[in-house]
Formats: sequence, C-alpha cells, structure tokens
Amino acid sequence: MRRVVGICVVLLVCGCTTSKQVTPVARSGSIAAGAQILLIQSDIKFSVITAGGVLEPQPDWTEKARSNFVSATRRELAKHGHSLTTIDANVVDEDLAQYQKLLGAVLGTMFGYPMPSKHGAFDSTLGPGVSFLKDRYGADYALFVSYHDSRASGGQQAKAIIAGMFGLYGVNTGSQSGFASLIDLTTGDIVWGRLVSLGTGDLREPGGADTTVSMLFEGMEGG
Amino acid sequence: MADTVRAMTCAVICCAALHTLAAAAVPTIPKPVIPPGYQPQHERDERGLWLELDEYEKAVIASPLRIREAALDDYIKNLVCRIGKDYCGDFRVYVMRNPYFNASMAANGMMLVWTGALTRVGSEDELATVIGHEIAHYEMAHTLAQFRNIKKGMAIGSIFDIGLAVIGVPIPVGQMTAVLNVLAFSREEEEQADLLGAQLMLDAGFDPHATYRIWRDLIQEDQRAETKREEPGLFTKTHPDSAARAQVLEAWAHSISRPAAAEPADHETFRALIAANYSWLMEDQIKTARYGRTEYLLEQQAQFGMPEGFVHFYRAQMLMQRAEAGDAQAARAEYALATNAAAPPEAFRNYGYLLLKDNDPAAARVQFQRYLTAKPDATDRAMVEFYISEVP
Repeated sequence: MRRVVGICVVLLVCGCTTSKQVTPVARSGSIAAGAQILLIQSDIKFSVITAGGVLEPQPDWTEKARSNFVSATRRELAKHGHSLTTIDANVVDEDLAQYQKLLGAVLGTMFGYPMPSKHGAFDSTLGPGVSFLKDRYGADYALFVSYHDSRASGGQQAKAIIAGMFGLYGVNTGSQSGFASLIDLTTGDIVWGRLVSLGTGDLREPGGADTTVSMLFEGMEGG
Repeated sequence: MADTVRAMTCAVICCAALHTLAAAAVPTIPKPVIPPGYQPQHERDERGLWLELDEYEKAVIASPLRIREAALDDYIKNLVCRIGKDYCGDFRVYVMRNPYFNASMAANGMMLVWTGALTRVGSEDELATVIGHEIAHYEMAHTLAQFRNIKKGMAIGSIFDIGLAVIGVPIPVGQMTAVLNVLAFSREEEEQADLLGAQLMLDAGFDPHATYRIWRDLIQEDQRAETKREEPGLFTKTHPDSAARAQVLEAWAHSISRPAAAEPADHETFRALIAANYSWLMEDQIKTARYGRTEYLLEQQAQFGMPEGFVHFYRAQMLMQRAEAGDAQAARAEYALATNAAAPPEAFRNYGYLLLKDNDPAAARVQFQRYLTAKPDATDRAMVEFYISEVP
C-alpha cells in the first residue's frame, strides 16, 4: 500500500515538474546592447489553493514574489548588458493602463486566436503612441510581465494524494504560469513575447525566481 | 431533540415575524456597528482578499468609464460627506459611466455610483436616499461581512481576476461591479440599510418622503419595460421586494416630524448639474435600447425640469432608433417641438432629414441652414451643404 502511495506521489510530482509548456514569439534581430528596460509587472501574484479548491492570494508571499522577481530580472538582464527601471506599484498610470489592455488584446490574438490574415507573420505593434513611456520613464523598451504562482495547501496536497490512490487525477496542486512581452518604445512594435506554464520555480525563494526568470525570458535576445 | 430545537427556532422566527408586522407602522432605526476610521483586523487569508480589492480599485481609478468631470465628481463626493458625516474620511467615491441604475459600497470604503442613478433620481433628496443606503451598509458592517463571506462560497480568483489575462478576456470594470453586486445582501440587511440610510439622509437635512418615492419610481420604470429582455433591472434583482420596502419607508417617513433642516437640499444646483450633463447621460441611456424604460425616464425628466427642447430631442432620437410603425411620424413631431425650444443643433439636422423624406424640401432646407448656423464647425458640414444644394 505504501508503495502505491509512493508511486502516486512520484507520478504527481513528475506530472508537475515536467509539464513545461512554452509558446514563444519573436521578431528577427536583437535588442541593442546597453538598453534601458522598463519592467511593468502588472500582475505577479502568489496564491495558495485551499483544500476547498479556492485560490487564495497571499499578500506576504506576493510581496516577496514581486521583489524576488524584480531582482532576478535585473540580474538576468545585466548578463546581456541591459539595465532595469521599475514603476512604483502604488502609482496608477492611466495612460499605461490603456496600453496594458491593448497589449492583452493583441497578445490574445497572437497566442490564443491567431488572425488568419497575418499568415503566421509576426509583425504586431502597439503603435508609436506608446512612445510616451519612453519620455515618462526614460526607457528604450518596456517589459510587460504577468505571472501567477500558486501552491497547494497541505489539505489540497493530501486531497491530491488520496485522489491519486483511487486513480483520480486532476486535483490542482498548483501552477506557475504567465507571460512576458517586450515592446520597443520608439515604434511600439512587439519585439518578443513568451507564454509559459512552467511547473517549477518558487518565486518566494531568490533561487526559484532565478529559475523562473531564466525560463520565462529565454530567447528574449532574439535571433 | 432536534425537532424541539427546530420547533423553538420556528417559534422564535414566527414571533419575530409577527413582531416585525406589528412594528411596521413605526420601524426602529438600527445603529451603526463600526466607528468612523475603522481599520479591520485581518485574518491572514482575508488580507489576500483585501489585496485583490485594492487592485480592483486601481483598475477603477484607471478606467476610462470613471467620470472625470470635476463638477459632477465633486458634487457627489460632497453629498457623500454631507450624509456620511464623521465617516466621510473612510470613503473613496467614484462615479462610473454606466446607464443602469446602481450604486455600491465595498468593504474597504470604495463607493461606486453609476451614472444611471443620476438619470433616474428626481431630486437631490432621492440621490441622498441612494447614497445614505450604501453608507448604511458600510456603517452596519454589512459590506465587511459580505466580503468575509466571499471566500466561503466562491473562488476568489474568478471574482477578482482583473489582471492582464492573455488567454481569456479580462472582465471589464463595468461588469465587475455587476459581479460584486450579485453578492447580494440579505433581505434583513437591506431593510436595515433602508432605515439607517433614511435616518442618515434625514439627519443631513433631506426630505424623508424621497426614500419611498424613489422605490415607487423604480417599480414604475420596471413596469414600463417593453420586452422580457428588459427586465428585471440589476438593481431590483439584487434589491428584491421593492414595494414592501417602499411601504416600510413610507410608514417611517409619516411617523417622524421632520426637524428643521440646517442646510436644506439645494435642488437648483442639482438640477443645473444634471442639465449640464444631460446630453451624454441620455445618449448612454438610449444606447441601451430599452425603449419603454427610456420613454418613462423622459417623462420623469420633463417633470423634473430638464430643458424641454432636449427632452423632445432625445424622445425623437429614441423613436428613430426604435423605428417601429409610426415612430418616424412621432419623431418628426418631437423634432419640431425640439427645434422650437433650446435643443442640441442636431435636432435641426435630423428634423431636416425627416422633412426631406416627407417630400418637403423647402422646409428641410430651412432646418439644414439652422443646423449650420447653430454648429458652424459641424464635422458633417460638407454633407449638409450638399443636401442644401440639391434641394430646390
């Protein structure tokens, strides 16, 4: 019996860590060296899945996740000679909010429902109107990131193990997914974008954030 | 044993019900539960919800649907402070562009007033009723209790997920408010909020008889709905038993002798403010394509003293959009009335088009010229000039 539980746990854990799904998009050409990149981390969130299956956002861990994410991003970009600028999370930039919505809609057509008229071409842009961010925050590029990290609570993990024993899968033990997209602030062009579902990298730990960031930003330098 | 308990519980409830009936003539006003400046002591999981609520508020602030018209915004904020008194500092008020009737209060003091409430209230007293009701929910900690109940019943992520969703559509702010409102208060809480809200508006110097008038107006509007699709309104859906509640409020209003108002309601300022914003408010209302309701509102607004020419113009606009048999004829008559009073310049142009269709080119020409005189920089000037040149 113990072996059965053991196998189930292994299956579950493997099921998690190997479920990496990535959808990358990129224009040809790379980013100019020494670029100033503005990080817009609109929606980085850490939640716990309770035994009832409810997703509960955790403010302390969310705060930790956000700060670890920024540090890890700064380190990652420094490897390529870029530097990072951030926006005060308490400031509501109404103009930026509209571009975030626009980007959401555009990325939706790129990742979710590709437009047949594009014939697979990658040439979407937010338009030069977005260049106001260049002056407002002194950056060459904007890096939009949304990332949700959720972990199962003890109760939910127990539920997953018990469900596994009875051959039932699909009990949510957490997910780590999000997207990142780089915008050229002169032209508004979407230079690069990546949608990931990782199953690894705990944002509460600096090391975990490094793992997440390196996987999320893989290929951002372009080809 | 269980049966005994049930029987006893029933007895208590029945007694309470009888008591309520007996007391209906002079209802008792409930008291506020939380003091001004109250800071809730959060449980760990509750702070997560609070975080989500704060983020939702940021989205409200950034929303293009938030009214930035300073005069209107300031007016509503002042009214909230006048009614909320010591609680004023606990509220952040946002007027949201949404043609349906609603106002809401969140546990953190975020208050939303939809513009549809402004097209429906017939006086400052009635608006004070709506605001008093929402403030009462807050003061009696209903909003806090509701907020704490959310996590019991629903996946928080699905309520508040307003982030930059890539796959899937982010929920627009307007609809979010609807979602928040679906989490309705109990019937008892609504009744309590009615009564405390009524007391709050009375204490601020407003007419207590407005408290039930607004309910009666809303009931009449619902009755005028032309199609099934139009009803019920969101507000009446989340606030059931309007008629019964109006009755309780009426009993209360008649039971009190109104104290002399320190600061009587300033109806002229309110009327002028609505008149100044009347055009876009009514354009939003007409776009809802709820013709029966719109017709009723226009009747109410004519009584309320909105500029006559504007009321005729928007009735004509509504008729043209509905386009049922006889509507064009009726619209022509309304445009004629509008153009004889102060009305938007478009009244001349639209009247002109109808006259042209009715083979009266000479009369049409007159109206087109009046349009261009009234609005020299009209974007469709070339088109109208073309019509003028075409007609004999």
